[in-house]
Amino acid sequence: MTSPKLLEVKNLRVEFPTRRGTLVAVDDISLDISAGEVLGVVGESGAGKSMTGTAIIGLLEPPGRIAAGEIRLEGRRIDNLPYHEMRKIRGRQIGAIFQDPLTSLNPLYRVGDQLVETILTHLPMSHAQARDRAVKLLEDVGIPSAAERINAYPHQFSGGMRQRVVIALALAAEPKLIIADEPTTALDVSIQAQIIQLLKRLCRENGTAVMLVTHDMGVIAETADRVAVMYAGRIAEIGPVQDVIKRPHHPYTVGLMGAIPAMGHKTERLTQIDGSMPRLNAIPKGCAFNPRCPKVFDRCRVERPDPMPAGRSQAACWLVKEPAHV
Amino acid sequence: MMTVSLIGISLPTFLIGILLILVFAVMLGWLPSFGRGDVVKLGGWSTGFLTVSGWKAVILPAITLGLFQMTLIMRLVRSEMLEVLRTDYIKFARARGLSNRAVNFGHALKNTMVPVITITGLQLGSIIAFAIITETVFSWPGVGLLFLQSVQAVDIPVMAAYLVAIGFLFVLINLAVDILYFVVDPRLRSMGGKAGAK
Amino acid sequence: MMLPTARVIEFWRKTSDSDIYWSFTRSKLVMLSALITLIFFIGAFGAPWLAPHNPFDLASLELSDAFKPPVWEDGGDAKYLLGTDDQGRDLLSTIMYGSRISLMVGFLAVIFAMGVGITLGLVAGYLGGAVDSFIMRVADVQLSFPAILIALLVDGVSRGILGEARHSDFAEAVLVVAIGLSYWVQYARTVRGSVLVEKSKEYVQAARVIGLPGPLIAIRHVLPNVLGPVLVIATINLALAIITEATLSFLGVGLPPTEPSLGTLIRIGNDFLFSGEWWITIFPGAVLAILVLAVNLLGDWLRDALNPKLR
Repeated sequence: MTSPKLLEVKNLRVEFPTRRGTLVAVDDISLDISAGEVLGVVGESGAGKSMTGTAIIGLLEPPGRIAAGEIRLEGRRIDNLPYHEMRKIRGRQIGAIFQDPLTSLNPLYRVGDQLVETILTHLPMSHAQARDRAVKLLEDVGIPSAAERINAYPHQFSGGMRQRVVIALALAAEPKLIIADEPTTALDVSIQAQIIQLLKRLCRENGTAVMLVTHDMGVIAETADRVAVMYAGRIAEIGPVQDVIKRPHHPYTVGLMGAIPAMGHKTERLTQIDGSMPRLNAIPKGCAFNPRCPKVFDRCRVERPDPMPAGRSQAACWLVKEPAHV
Repeated sequence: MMTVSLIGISLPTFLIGILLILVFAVMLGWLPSFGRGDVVKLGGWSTGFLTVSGWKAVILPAITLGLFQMTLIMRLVRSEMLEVLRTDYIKFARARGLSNRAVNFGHALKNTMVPVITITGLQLGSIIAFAIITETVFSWPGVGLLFLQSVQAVDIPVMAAYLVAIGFLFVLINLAVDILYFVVDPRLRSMGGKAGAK
Repeated sequence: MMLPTARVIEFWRKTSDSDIYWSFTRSKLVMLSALITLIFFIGAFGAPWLAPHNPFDLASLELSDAFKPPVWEDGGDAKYLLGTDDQGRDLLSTIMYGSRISLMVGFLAVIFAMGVGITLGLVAGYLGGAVDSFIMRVADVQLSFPAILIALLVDGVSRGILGEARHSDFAEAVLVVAIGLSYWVQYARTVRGSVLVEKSKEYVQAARVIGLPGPLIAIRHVLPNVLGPVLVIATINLALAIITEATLSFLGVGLPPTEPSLGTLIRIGNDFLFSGEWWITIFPGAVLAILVLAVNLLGDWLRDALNPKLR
């Protein structure tokens, strides 16, 4: 842990105060991303993975707020910056891609204008230079005859093409980190792979780190260097992607891996995790997973485990301390 | 602020007129309470727009007519803005680090324009109707007063003629509104001409 | 099979736990406008018992009492709290009776508009096709004509049909129809939209397949769905209807001076504005403005409270 981390998140806690008490969407999460690294974040919907990403770029919608913890970008704290300071980081240092390309682009502006606007906001360029760069970006993301298409409006692109434009926009000012929140969920399966490949290639070429939020374990396995598994607002397990897939330590990860159909293997049947993730207002005492855990024992119902070293990974499970292997 | 605007749409037009007359004409005596002021003859055309008293006579009726419409549009823009500010493309615009001004005025406000244009067009129509009230309050012998008298006297031909004239005006206004849609929203433009290319 | 008291308790428990109740208690302004509305309703509908004088009892009117200013002004008479009008009628009492008429016309007009709108919306949504197009085109056309014009037109036509003398006998009914007819469009649109949504749902298709009356089943699903929006529209329409009635009466095509509503009172007072008897106009005007504002505030709050998107 001596190499400087690009992004460090320590004990992050995101709360939503409501009239019936405070909901904790993200509870005491710590993770880090090195330069050029791809960190996958998986979990069921509502596990807090998107919320973590949104908190990092400082776009939590009120009443949601960061209640505790800190976020550091290259050692500099960014979670408490005033709006205009944070604005300079968004897009320039940390880019973002959201789930739905159909609604991420402003329908009333040409894609070129949206690109040029973003470039001029962050980079010291003339309008003509920015426009050249915009064409180049569109070419990079694989939009044919970019020089003409730059004058098109978003509705004149297909879904996959629009997500390419969104990626171009996110990369426009060469950020060091991209937070990609379910970038392919809204797309056709055949296009999903293309977009993921594109994102992977561009980030490798530019040395951009990626925090890839998804519920698709397959995408993670193919793309990520490390993976964080989230459950009910907490990290269940985090570690190198091969370790987490091949040698999962947390019973939830075990269940998650068992639920993925493997190609080429003859599997008798897919395992499933009984029950469903607790709602944010009814998280059980102790380990949040304990009501569904096949290996639950007394301590799990009383005391909440924090992530602890388990091989090359970290897992938040009391079993890790026990010699008996999962 | 929005409570203030609610006062604006809660005050009936005729009451606004009466209050303005009471304050500015009766109590302060600054502005005339009725009529159209002095006129100037320009060839065969007499106009009040070239005299000071002519302009003074316009102020109160103009405020009377405009106040209600103003607050209505204000409330509409607010509720549309609230709606638009929740959309993904605004979130994405913020995530790209655009300034608040660019996000609010550039991206959000333009997207509120389609409904605002629609309602403004409809409001132009109701301004014509509300002129009936303003003309009554400020004793202007206009076409609104004529219509009102025709209703009271059950003069069906005059009523019909007025409605046809007004209807024609509404058609013109609606046409202008439709043209404005095309200027504002590119999605409508490509629907008419060449279909959106893939 | 709950006991009535248990039911009441249960109802209260549910109500006090609901989001609407919660947002109600959160805003002082909303509670204040609810209180004002309530006071006005009591004052208006209780006018025959609560008003200090009966302004329609011609025998009790003294012309020598005309143009008395409010009590606190010079020459005020303790008998007449807010002064008197040109015929010596007590202004407070006339205002109470006047609000009664204004509110009655407003309520009835809203109910009329609701009835017409909901019915046409249901018909348009269910039958679809030419009927739907026809109803919705009429709605579009009407929407581009301001309500006040429509109301004036209906009033004018009814004068032609009924004749001037009988028209004043039916003035209230004519007003209700005139105002109601100018506000039905919103209800029709809301209901039609909801019908179209319900109609495409599978249970309606299924009901059709096994020969049950799908429309009847769906109506039972449509009406609860539109209850919220319709209530919001109705509240805001009540404010609009009161304004429209006042405007028509002010213009002299609404209620006659023998049966004055708030608008008529303002019209009467307007003639004396220049001679210094400001109170004859200002008090009814203030009552009208405050009443409409309070109702509008309630409508505004109701719309926000019922709109899950804004929460």
